[in-house]
Amino acid sequence: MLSILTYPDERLKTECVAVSDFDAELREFITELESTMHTSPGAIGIAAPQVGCLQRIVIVDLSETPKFENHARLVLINPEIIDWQGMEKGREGCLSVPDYTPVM
Amino acid sequence: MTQHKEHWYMLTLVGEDRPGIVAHVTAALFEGDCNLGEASMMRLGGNFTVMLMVKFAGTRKALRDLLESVVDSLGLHMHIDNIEGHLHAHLQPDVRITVYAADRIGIVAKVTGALAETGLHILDLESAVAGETDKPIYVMHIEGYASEGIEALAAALALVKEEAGIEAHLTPIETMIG
Repeated sequence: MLSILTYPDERLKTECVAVSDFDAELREFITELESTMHTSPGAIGIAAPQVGCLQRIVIVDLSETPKFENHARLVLINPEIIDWQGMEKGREGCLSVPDYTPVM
Repeated sequence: MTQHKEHWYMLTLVGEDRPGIVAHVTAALFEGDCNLGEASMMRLGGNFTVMLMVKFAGTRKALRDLLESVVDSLGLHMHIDNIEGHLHAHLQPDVRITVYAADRIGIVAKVTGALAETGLHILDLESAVAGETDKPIYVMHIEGYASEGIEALAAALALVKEEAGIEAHLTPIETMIG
């Protein structure tokens, strides 16, 4: 299990680089990242910089929250927001900011 | 002053609202080496209200003496309690209840009574009286923890809605952590 960086660790604000090597090491890291996410109760996502890896990798797993229409488990590598619509308020927490779940 | 072990106090202030209350009070607390914890401050009916956790290495009287002049100058009423509270004691709410009704006495008692009987632990409650002066509307938002499950609360709320003729909505809160 990887250790999670918490605020105010500067690495959490560092711009991440794109993944260029899609190799066995990347797969192994993603497996570890996902295991780390699942060790925290209620966690539905994690990003690589949260464990100190400054690359553009995000895991989102909503497969346990079927109440919301969602894409279940996603491993996003080098994602880009190219379009978005709408806003919704909800209660959110962050593994890197423990014990704080505001309505955002 | 004899040094005491640092202790948490709950400071309550109430008075006519005016700009600068928070700045003046917290400046006095800072000068007295107080550390601030969780707080709830809001304007209610033209009054400003403060509930503030204050960590202070002194007695309750010493804290009162520290604040007396600023509190008097702002026209505030002050109350200080020794508390056994501590930080990082949050409970996560899993249900939100919103109530609307033509304002009349008894709405809060009826709704919260029914919800308490079915296991609701209220963690946060805000209410306002909206609408026109001669046609006021009571609005209440509750967040809480459903210790006996959300279905039990929903059933109780449905009964109250019917009996008391109020609008009430219950929504599960899903906290997304990432």
